[in-house]
Amino acid sequence: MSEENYEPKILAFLCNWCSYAGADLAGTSRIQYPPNIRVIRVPCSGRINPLYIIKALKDGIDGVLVSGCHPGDCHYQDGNYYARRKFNMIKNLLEYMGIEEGRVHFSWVSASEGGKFAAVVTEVTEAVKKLGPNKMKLFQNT
Amino acid sequence: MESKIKEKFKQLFDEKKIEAAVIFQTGTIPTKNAPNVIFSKDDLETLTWNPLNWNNLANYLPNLLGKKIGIVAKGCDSRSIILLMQEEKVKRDQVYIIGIPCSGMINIKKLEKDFGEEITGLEFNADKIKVKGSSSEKEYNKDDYLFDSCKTCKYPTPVIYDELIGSEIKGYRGENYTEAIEFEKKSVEERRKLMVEELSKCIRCYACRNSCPSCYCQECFVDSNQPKWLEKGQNIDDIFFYHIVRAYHMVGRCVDCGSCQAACPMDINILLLTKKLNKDVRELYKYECGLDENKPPALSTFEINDYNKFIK
Amino acid sequence: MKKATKSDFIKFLKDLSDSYEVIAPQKIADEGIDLSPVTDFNKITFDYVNTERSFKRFIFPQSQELFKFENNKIVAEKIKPKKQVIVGIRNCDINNFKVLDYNFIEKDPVDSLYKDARDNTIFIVGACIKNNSTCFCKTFKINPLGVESGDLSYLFDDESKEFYIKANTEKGTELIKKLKCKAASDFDEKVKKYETNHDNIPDLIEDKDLVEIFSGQLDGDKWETIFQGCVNCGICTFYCPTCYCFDIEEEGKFWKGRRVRNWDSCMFSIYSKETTGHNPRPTNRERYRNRVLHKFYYQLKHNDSYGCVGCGRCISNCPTNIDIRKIIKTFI
Repeated sequence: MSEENYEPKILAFLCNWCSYAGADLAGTSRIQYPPNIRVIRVPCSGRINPLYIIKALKDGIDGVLVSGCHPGDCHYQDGNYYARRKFNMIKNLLEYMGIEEGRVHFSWVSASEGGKFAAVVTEVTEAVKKLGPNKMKLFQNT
Repeated sequence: MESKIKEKFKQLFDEKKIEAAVIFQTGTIPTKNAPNVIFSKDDLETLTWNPLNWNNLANYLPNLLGKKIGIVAKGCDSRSIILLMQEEKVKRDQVYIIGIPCSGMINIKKLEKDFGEEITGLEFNADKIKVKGSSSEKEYNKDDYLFDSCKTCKYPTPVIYDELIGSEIKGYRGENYTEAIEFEKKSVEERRKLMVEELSKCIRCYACRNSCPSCYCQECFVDSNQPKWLEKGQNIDDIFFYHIVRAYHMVGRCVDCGSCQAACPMDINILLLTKKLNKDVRELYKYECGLDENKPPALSTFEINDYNKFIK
Repeated sequence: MKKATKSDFIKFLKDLSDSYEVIAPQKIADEGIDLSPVTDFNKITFDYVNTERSFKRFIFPQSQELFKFENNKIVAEKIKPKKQVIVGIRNCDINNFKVLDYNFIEKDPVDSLYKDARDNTIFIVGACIKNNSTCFCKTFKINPLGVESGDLSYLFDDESKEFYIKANTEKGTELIKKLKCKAASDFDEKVKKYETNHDNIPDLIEDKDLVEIFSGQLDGDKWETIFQGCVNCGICTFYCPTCYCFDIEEEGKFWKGRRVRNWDSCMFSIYSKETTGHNPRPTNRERYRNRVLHKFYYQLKHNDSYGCVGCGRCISNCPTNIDIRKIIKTFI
């Protein structure tokens, strides 16, 4: 694939109660955003084991977006607070080990923020596009 | 020192206060001591205490769940015991801890390399090591051969103990994660290059995982095949995966004892990863693991005002 | 028996590098002396007791591709074996063929990858003039000064810097013609000179019959204590020249990927785990017992050779000082 028409694949983990509904709202409101994301719906952002993020990167996805409810809005009271600590650590560690900043993104998007969801996806897609294909995948022999 | 520990354990065995003891025994080769779990006081004969005891003895505790155990603990061992207590792998009234202030353990591989031939005898004085080989004999400064994590150890005196043998040693006061801070400053490409270089040595024996007291999972994610997370081969991405996740599982759980690196047969600088995480946990969440059993571990708690800027 | 100077021998290796990949002991940055492909022939060293890791990984690599597949079809790509020369193998290590050949070649089906690699490799064995305290090759009736195994074998005399070289196979006889050398008559004297160096190597088993000894103790009290210190890492198995267990798995996606075989270790819990989730070797006691019995009982019973060659790598690399010599002694 040439550099110009390179379209990254981005995996999005969306929390069922806020971000997934936000994505839904973006769709029903006919807001346009790049079609690069593949969505996986999870019960809560606290459900996301950082192992999933690394596994996705290892298997060749170019970028990962994790999105959940705003702090204080969690359906399970405090799931996203725990998640925030986990995400902070894994983000730091990945960058430290030489995976570029901009591969992994986190956002808080509520059910009413269809516009914000579209904006976040656009921003993430652009950031990943700038980085080019995932280098972790390039290690792979298959 | 040794006789005091022996006496204490003998007494504990006699009084039926303990059923098992986790100790170091004299090794079969002069460069190694054997960490071991013993069940009778007869085995105390070979108990030893010298600067070769780098293994973290708390590693054996989760397997002995439910037994009454006596354990000799250095500073790092005691912190690991606290960590295991927090995670309910061991109960306080189940262990009798003999604390021993530790003046640092010797990186025997480094010494072997510098000495040049096989070491047939070692003698430790206060700050000197006398090394004997088949054809030569040399004396080294002990301080030059301490493990890096021992040189910067903040808690050489056990944090928790039932009895302390020896006098307290003051810990290092300076910055103990300078290596990680230096590494952080490099560019992404450089970091990646160095990491690949370092980790491609890995033969995946998992000695780092198995010699770590914090790694006690019944089934490790690398051993899981339903789902299968990673392949077992020598691809660098699988090795990366393993080391990232292993390090991540140490967030707020690493006592910086250095036994992972000491166990590594390929001399990989594994501590470079955990040091970075320890530093981040300390800076972001003001938490150091293994100091207070009543304080929840860093990832098991939160504050409303935690750092939020990285999230859109 | 021939005699050659060190520079001639190195030149001989250099000439071989035209048609073979030469693997020889070299000093590797922080790891000590280990076998690795030669780029600079001046870096080859003969001043070592044994290499850090055994030569097993050049015949039976830690991770080996069997084939690639794409869209339900095998993309047949017969991997051509590399022609290689391995220099400086010790007598203990070369004896691992008794175990590996039995497992891979002697019984049907023959493992073609292993056989190809073995057939395309020239083994140059060097006799030991020194030893480590962890050596116990004499236990398995291996002569550290022997020049009987491998395609070529040599004794390197430390003082005169001369190689006493002998060809043991047809391949070897063919090769030695390329070496500039002269006839040697003083070989026996040299052997005698170094013989006393090896007096300290123990013979732990002597004439005892291990099959008989172990068959009464396949389980029991003695096993309760010896494994306690073991943390179940895979160092001993990965460093062992005779351990050959492997695991075959697919890498990649189901529509495109490859099948590889990787070293496995009986020290890992997943090694014996069954599909149901049941594990017949649940703790390190069973796993460690299996390792010992495999080396000194099962192998002996079925193959009539020990599963151990006495190189001592597991002893010097074990993080918890589990000593296989001590274990043999507890049972004998």
